[in-house]
Amino acid sequence: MSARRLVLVAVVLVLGAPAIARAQATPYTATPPTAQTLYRDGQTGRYLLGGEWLYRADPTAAGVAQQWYAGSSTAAWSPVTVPNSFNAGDFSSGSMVGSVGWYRRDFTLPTGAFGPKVPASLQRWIVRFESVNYRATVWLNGRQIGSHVDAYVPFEIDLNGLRAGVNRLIVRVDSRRGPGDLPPGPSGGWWNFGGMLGEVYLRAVDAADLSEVQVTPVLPCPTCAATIQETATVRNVTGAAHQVALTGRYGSVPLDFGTATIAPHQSWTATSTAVVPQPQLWSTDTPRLYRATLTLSDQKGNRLGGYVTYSGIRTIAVTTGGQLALNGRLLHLRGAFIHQQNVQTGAALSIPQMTALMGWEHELGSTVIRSHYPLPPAIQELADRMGILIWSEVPVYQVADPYLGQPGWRTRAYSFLQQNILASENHPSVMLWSIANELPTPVTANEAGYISGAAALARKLDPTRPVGMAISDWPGVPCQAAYAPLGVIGFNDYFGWFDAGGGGTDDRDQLGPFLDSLRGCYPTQAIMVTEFGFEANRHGPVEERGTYEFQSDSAAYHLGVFATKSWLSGAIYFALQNFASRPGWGGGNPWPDPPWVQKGLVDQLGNLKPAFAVVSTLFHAVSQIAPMRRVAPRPAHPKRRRPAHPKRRRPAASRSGSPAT
Amino acid sequence: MGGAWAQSAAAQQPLAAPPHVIDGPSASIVRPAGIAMSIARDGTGGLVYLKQVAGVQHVFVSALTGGSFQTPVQVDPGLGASSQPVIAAGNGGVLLIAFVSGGELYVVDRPGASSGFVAPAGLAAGASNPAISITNFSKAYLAFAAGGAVRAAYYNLGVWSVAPTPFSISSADGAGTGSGRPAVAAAGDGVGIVAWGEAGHIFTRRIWGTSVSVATVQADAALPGCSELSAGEPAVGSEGNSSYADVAFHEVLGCGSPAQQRSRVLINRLVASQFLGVTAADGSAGSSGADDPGITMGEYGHGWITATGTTSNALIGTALGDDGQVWGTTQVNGAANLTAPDGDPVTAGLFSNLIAWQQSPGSSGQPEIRVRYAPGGSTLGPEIVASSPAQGPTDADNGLAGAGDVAGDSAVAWVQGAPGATEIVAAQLYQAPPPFGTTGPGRYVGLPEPQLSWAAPNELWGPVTYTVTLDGNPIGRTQATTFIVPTALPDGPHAWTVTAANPVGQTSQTGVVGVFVDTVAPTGQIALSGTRLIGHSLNTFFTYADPPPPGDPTTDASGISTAVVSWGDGNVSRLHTGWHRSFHTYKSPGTYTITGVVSDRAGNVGHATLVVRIAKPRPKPKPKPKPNKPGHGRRR
Repeated sequence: MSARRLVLVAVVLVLGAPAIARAQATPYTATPPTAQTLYRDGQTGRYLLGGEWLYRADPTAAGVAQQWYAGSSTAAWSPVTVPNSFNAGDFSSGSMVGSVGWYRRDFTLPTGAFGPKVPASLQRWIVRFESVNYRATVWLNGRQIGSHVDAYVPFEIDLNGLRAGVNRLIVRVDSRRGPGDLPPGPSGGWWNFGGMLGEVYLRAVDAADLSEVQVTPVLPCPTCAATIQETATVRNVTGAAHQVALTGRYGSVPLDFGTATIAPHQSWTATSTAVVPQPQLWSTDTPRLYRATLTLSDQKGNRLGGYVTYSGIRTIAVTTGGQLALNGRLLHLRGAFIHQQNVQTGAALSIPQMTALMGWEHELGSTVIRSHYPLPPAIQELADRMGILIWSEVPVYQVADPYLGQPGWRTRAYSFLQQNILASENHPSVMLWSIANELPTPVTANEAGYISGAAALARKLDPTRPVGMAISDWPGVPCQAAYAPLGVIGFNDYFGWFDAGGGGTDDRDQLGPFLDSLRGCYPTQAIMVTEFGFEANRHGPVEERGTYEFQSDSAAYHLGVFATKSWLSGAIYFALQNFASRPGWGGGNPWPDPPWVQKGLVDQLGNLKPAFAVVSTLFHAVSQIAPMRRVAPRPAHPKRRRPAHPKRRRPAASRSGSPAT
Repeated sequence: MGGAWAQSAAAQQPLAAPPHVIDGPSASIVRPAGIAMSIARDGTGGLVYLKQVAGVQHVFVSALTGGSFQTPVQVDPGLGASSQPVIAAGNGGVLLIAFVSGGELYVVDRPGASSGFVAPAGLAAGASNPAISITNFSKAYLAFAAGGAVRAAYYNLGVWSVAPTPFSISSADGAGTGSGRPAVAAAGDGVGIVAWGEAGHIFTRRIWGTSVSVATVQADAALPGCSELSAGEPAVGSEGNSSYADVAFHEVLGCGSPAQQRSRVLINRLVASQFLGVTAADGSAGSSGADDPGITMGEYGHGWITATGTTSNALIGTALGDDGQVWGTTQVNGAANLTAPDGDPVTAGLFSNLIAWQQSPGSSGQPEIRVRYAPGGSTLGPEIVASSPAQGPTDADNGLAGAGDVAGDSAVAWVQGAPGATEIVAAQLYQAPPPFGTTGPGRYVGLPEPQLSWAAPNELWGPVTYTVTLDGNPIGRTQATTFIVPTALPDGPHAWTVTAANPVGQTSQTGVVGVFVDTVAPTGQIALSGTRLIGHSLNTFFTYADPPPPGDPTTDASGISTAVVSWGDGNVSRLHTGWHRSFHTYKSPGTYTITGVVSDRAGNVGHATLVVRIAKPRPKPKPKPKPNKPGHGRRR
């Protein structure tokens, strides 16, 4: 064989190898979703679209042009499970910047989802995505059916175009974010794990869908009877008018929303109230939950669908003295910040992984948790059951000032806030709506506008909870009038760790005086420490930053200062566990280990650091919720955002309820 | 909120004031004079030196208060001969002085600018070689040698406490003595880093409060191709974060084969508890030998290391960047030096710094003190002559020290004059006053002699003299922050600005601000129409105008601000600008005075009134009763 021919053969082999590989189809069989859910709250008729999915990376973003949504071949697709982060374990710069990946699930519809008498014309399916990072475009059987932007909040799409037999759901995920996105990209405070971070459900809908349900207990005083205000959005998913009836129970107390005839593709906003005369209150020490159910029926009384949620009766308010109170009991919360991350699976967490995080919180003695974004429903349900409050925040994280003033950006941020409130407001554990983290200090005009607008929106959507924001602040910054719309100010405390204001926070001994000055600025607003933390990845001298000894000593010192501030409503350690931040992360540790933020009380492999026990001891030593006593809550605004339909309302039920077990 | 002195405008090249004699000429000022200087971030500070009283050497301090060095005072009364004074300045006029007298280490404190010095307090017996450093929050560390060991004391909240644990390794190897004298740097986070020589090596160890670290780390090592013979003269600097400290020292090496002795200045960066490895800090001068290491580091690690060529007398500067990283080496002095320059690197600002040294011969032919300033921290500006030849030759070998505040202001002090007529001289190098703005009187005024006001710039040294300029002409100077225009201004628009000048004439100016003078009140007329009965709507037409002074154009009037009609019964109608008509219905009969009140933008007010009598309407005659016809009865 001549040398030239050898080269030709080699070229053919090299070029042909991938072609041959591409031609090899991945064995894949369509399977139906299974009748199960990974968390409790929600509609009945949900099916988990788990099992085997396929994934295909699209590094050049050529998939749309090449119509990857239309083909049936499984060549070049690899099997994965969902939730999935397509760049888990990849800590390169390119991984942080983000990329495009495609997910595919071939499925058949489950049998028995509808009753035998339900005609096919009334059978509908909805697909629900719990969290996709960041931009999702969805195709069903080759036809685009919807899209969504923003991770950490769910979205639903009607599955129009379903076929008998095999159906193919394709999701294109683009995790590339720009500085105007939420959170801003391409860098950021935590790793940009792209993909389908939450599970996917199909929901069987018989003519009408209980698309949204809000269960709002209103408690005028800790010993008062509670009024349960419920609002449900019932959507007629068909092309014909339907008469429906909606009833419910709150514990053992019945509710009747009445009946309505819903025009084709229109919605009915049904409201009802019930009174629980002697409610058993949800609190951090006794997290009693009521099972709230709704049942949707047709005019003949045939069940169309239902909804289940676990509700807690409690008040969370800022007292006239500027302190947070739960059921009138002053709070001195302690807890640790959570990032939805795992060293193996990235930001796609399984239920056991979430349970482990919450287990550590329990072990610490936490009564509050925080994240920079809405937490998955499973974690929120665990918090409901464990009596742990949630500082619920949208990822308006260190946004550059010009964006804060742009109408388009504001619309997106407000939309995110609204999505979070709609998705999470039934959880008694959610203590407030946080509108941002660490925007510019001092407050700019653009920022002031955002604070004002976002706080007003949150109060309008949910008047039962305070509005909060986490801020950076340091000695020398004057009091900020723009924080006036906030009920709760979260101060991110890095005294003795990060340098702010030209050395103003160098010395941790300045923390106490600074907190006092902060209180002087904001005497009627509740103040929490929303972050304090210290990196640790080795043993060494106690005065040396980055050592376990320094971390333990510093955490104890800061907690000791907090304990002297009786007006301080809480403190959240940052963070529960080490997490990946971004390439080159130093984080104040002289010997860092990028991209890992080593401030965790637990390392990224799940090992407890010495500070864990120190913090746990000090958390347990604090009386985090005061004994029951009366304090003066601010006037509540029990009016809901949706106008009631008086003609469909029924008299409130008045039987006593009983909490769920 | 709190008052930490942290923020700093970007520094520029400074302007030096003429040198000022702090003390002397006097035969009592000893040589070496033991000069040391410290300035806190807020611009307060002090200068310490030695001077004989009745033939006995004592410690004197000139405090820097209000931007001026004050008359020196003796701070060791009642003690015998004193030596080795050191000083550290904290914000608010805090001064900490330490010295050795009779073999005992004493400390003297001044708690604040308005306080006096407290009596000396003995801290340790058998002590020598004190070194002191203070943080932005007035925590200080005092390192010294005593009893064969290196020890340290910690100052916080007015109390000195000696750490119970010695730093040095052995009590039998001369730790902290001779060229092993200790050095200390207090980081902003409250941790101190002590460096000292012991048994021919340089060691460092941290201290936090009175807790001495468990980690002792050796700084010295041989350069590649050399073997180490001995090391000494440690100098240590740290930024606000004690994780980062740089240690410079003098090392004698044996290099090459056969080994030739080399004298070098080396640097080793301490990150946490690990040194990163020695590098030369003496540039090209190192090949012929270097010594006399010095170091300064600011809040973020920016600073300088200095070294002196032992044969060339060249002053070598090594720039330090973020976290004390070595950025590069340069020769500081442009002209050849016949004697050792005795260079002193100084921090003045968060990033800015300077190097002072003695140039010999200077431009006058005799030794003089020069300064090069680095506003951004790494690039030295032109040479500035700080001393005056009129006071004779400078003698930096017997005393040269400098310091600076957070704004970048700095001072340098030195020994000068002929023997027997020694002077302690200081030069202050100023930064221009920071930007500032006006606060009053607003856009419009009704008085022809308005009071102008402004916020004082955050000038740490002062005093600041303000020049007020109106319509392009200076109209007055003041050191207050208000000024009343001395002559009546004509109605109409004017423009004014204020220029702040510091003692050396550097200036900062507010923006040009407009002020509109309008001394003429607006006029108004009011007319009424409608039925003057209760229950009937009345209509006023309020005509108003804002006239200029007679003969002036209408543009000299500020214009209408508000127009209000007061109906006399407690009701008021506020008219939109340009509207004249308003309506009202009286509910009770009576006589009412209707008042139109019009204001212009300068606050001048005009009135127009009229009186109206409101009556009851006449009762309507009762209709005649109609006959009750069938079919028009009450409906059931």
